[in-house]
Amino acid sequence: MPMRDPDELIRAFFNRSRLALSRLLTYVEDGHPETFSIMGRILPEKKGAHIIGITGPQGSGKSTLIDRLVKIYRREGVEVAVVTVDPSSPKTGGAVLADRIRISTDDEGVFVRSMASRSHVGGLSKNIRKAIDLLDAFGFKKILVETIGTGQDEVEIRHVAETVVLVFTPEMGDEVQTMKAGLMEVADIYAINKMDELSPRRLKEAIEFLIRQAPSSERKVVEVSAKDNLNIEELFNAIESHRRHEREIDIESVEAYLKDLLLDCFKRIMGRDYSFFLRELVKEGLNPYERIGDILLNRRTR
Amino acid sequence: MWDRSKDIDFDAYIRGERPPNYRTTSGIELKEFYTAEDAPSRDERPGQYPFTRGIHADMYRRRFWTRRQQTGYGSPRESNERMRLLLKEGQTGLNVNLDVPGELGLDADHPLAQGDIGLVGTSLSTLEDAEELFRDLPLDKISTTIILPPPSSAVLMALYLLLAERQGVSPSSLMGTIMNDSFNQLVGPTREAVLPFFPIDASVKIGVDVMEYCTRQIPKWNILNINAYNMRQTGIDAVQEGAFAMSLARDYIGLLLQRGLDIDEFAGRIAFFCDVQMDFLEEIAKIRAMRRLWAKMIREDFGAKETRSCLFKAAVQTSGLHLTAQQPLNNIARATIQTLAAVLAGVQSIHTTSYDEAYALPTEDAQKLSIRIQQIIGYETGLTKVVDPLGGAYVIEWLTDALEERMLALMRRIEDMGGFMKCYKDGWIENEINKARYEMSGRIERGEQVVVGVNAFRDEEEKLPISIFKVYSSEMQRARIEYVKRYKKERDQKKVENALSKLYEETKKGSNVLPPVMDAVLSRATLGEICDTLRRAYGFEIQV
Amino acid sequence: MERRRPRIIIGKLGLDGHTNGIRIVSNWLKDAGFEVIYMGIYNTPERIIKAALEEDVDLVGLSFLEGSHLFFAERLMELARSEGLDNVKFVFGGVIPPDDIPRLKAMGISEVFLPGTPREAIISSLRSLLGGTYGD
Repeated sequence: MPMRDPDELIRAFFNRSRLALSRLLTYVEDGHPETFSIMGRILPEKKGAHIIGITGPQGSGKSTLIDRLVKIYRREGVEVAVVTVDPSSPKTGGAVLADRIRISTDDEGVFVRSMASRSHVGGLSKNIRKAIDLLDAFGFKKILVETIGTGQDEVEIRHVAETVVLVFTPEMGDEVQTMKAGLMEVADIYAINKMDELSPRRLKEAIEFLIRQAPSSERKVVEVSAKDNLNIEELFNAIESHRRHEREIDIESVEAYLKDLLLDCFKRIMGRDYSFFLRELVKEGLNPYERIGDILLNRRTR
Repeated sequence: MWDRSKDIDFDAYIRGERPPNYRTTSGIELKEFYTAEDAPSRDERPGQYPFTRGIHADMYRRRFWTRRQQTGYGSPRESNERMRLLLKEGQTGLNVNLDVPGELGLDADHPLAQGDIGLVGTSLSTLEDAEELFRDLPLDKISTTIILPPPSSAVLMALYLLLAERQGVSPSSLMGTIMNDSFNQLVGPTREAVLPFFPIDASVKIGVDVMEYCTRQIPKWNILNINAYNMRQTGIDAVQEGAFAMSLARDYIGLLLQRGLDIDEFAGRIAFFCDVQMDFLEEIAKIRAMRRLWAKMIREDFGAKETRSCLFKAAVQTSGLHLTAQQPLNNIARATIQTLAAVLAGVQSIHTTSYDEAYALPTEDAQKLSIRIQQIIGYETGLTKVVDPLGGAYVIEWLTDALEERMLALMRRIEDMGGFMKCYKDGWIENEINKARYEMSGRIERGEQVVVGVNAFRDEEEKLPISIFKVYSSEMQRARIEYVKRYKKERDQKKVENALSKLYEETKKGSNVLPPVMDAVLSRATLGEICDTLRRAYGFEIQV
Repeated sequence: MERRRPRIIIGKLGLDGHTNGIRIVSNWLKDAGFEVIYMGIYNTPERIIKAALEEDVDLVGLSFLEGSHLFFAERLMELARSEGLDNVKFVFGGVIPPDDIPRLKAMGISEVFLPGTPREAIISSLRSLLGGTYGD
């Protein structure tokens, strides 16, 4: 029978129902009115999964690389969740999500969810943090997040992932250099893909370029070939050893999280009056500060 | 254009009908009419270099095109029955095509094969199957086209040669073709379809092995059929069809030359399998342009000395892409027009696609009708009494030149990028195909390309007037699986193992695989087992 | 509540490698505002069902050109039932003899589209299968 009721879903979720997980992912992605309470009950169960962001320009071979990494995690007996994000058409709102097929999904220990960026300006899906939290609470120890690598999302991934891997091929050297400022600093690990197809000289140039960009000794450069399954172990090891036990507090990241949370809470308070409120908010002569103060302090929603 | 769902459109007559544009399908703008100025006099003649007007001086006056309808479905026995029926009805050559598992080098008992056994071709795995398929068919009297890519082509070639031996037919009497094209045979050359089942470079190498062997041992056998038809069915245009086909041929020629063969030893054994679509004038001009391009390429670029090498041999199939599910009887008109274009273009063999193509494999009646269409054109129209009747028609000559020019330009581009095979592996071909695919669907949607019954003159209430041929039979599929399992149990396993080991070793060494494949077949190894051995030898695992 | 996007899987089962149809339809659906999870070719029923579950799709659209539709329909619907995917609607497209359609529908396939079905007909049919969920 179709599960729709949030309470039922949460019960099933804690019984490790994948169906319930999947539906809750939909609810948080869609901004379901009960999101606040759903997340309130699920968040305490977070187990501290390792969140690994994989970003880079289109054509750099991210999906194939993810497939290789997933196989190594599975070999180690670890269950993995993968979230891939692709852009929505700004005109129609639709999207073709074609990353899933590059990953071997037949294994029960692999869970893959494809998300569209929808109208989110940053490129990532707006509610991706909640999705990741759900996967974490469900029990996946490793969560790989694949993003497009254009626009601003490569910076945003920094706020979402603990370890960020930037994947590119040396031909893309120019492209990567002209990307938004902050891209090169965002990554913890630089993976140069398609190493088998490159002349040693170009590869050397690429690596030297990176070392200049990444003076911090914590950053690592790894050459791989996803297609030919070369050197993936080295990348895997780099990711695993990057995992810090003491995480620095990333103020920006936390603040972004707080913003989300407050908005969800606000929506809950407003209930059905929310859409009316949004229209009201842009009316002339209205003082939004006063209005919101009214709502929050006096709980007068209208 | 009127819509039957409305009432009578009284304005239609006054408005009048006209073509939606004045371009060919590949985008060439057509003038109102053409004159002698548009077609520089070349004094070309049929049977003379560069053979624009026909590869023989007497063409159909001496010998009609071969009627070669594709057959093949279900078990070898069912396919054999249908082949014999068609021969009785006037078919003059045979096509052998296997089902999709066979094309991919899988036996019926492979877990992935189950749903697809025997649906679009014959299910075949063993020597026994091959004997069944060719029962009562004298291999020295008929011409057979084996439609398979490597590595399956190697296995079928081996089977055919063994059967010939058993019939007491010497290799020098065997007539036919093995398609042997690594890129296009599964569908249009999309990498996602081709690459998961066999590595492409190994496939090419095995294909060239077969070509080399046949060149040296089987004098009348055609070693390669470039499958331009499948390419075209993705939605690319006539220029791309010609250029892609020629460029691919060029790459294969290069590989054969590397084997130490002389151009004149094998060029005459390479043939093409082309499409014939609805743009009547363009399709005719396309074939003529390809004839000229081939001749020039073989003589000028490769230095061939024999005339035979420069002859562009074209087998064609009338386009399935243009046949509609709506108002299927319309397809008879389409197939007739396309067949007519093929005859006027002077091709060597024709498969007229059946009108129920949009629904299923053809019924017997539909296939008979296809043969009749060809017989009517051959015997009742008088067109076979004159060679190249459209030669000298201003628009035809002009279009031939225009297409040749455009094809050559695209061929040069591909050459500059490293050749067809490289462009394929780099994904460039795929991109061009995707672009063309979407453009075509866009044109049909916008009505720029009219498809009667689909985007014009629809009949919303039509009832299907035809009966459909049902191939799917779970019994047939189960029977085939049982047969293969039993076959694998009831044979000298040691013999098979030895033969497959030998094949593995020879493959790793880089020898020509055909002789060890023949031994493997003789020892009763199956198609799937032989292909799996080849995969292992190349360190390859199926990736689906 | 934010407006949700309808989600549909588009792909093929078995060994049929023709991608023309599914690529074109995927594009149409994207242009009509759908989120299309493109599964390509060479899928097993198990793989499709697992995807339908993980992606929480509303629809699954599969294309058949070679006659294997009856073979796969059975397995597909069996799996869908055992995985609890009661909400997901399955549609088939391609070269399917019209008199197989009643059998397919009896097995639980919601809709069958024959070749040449216009884009708008497909989209409006899919939308009506979605029901009122999307407040269009």
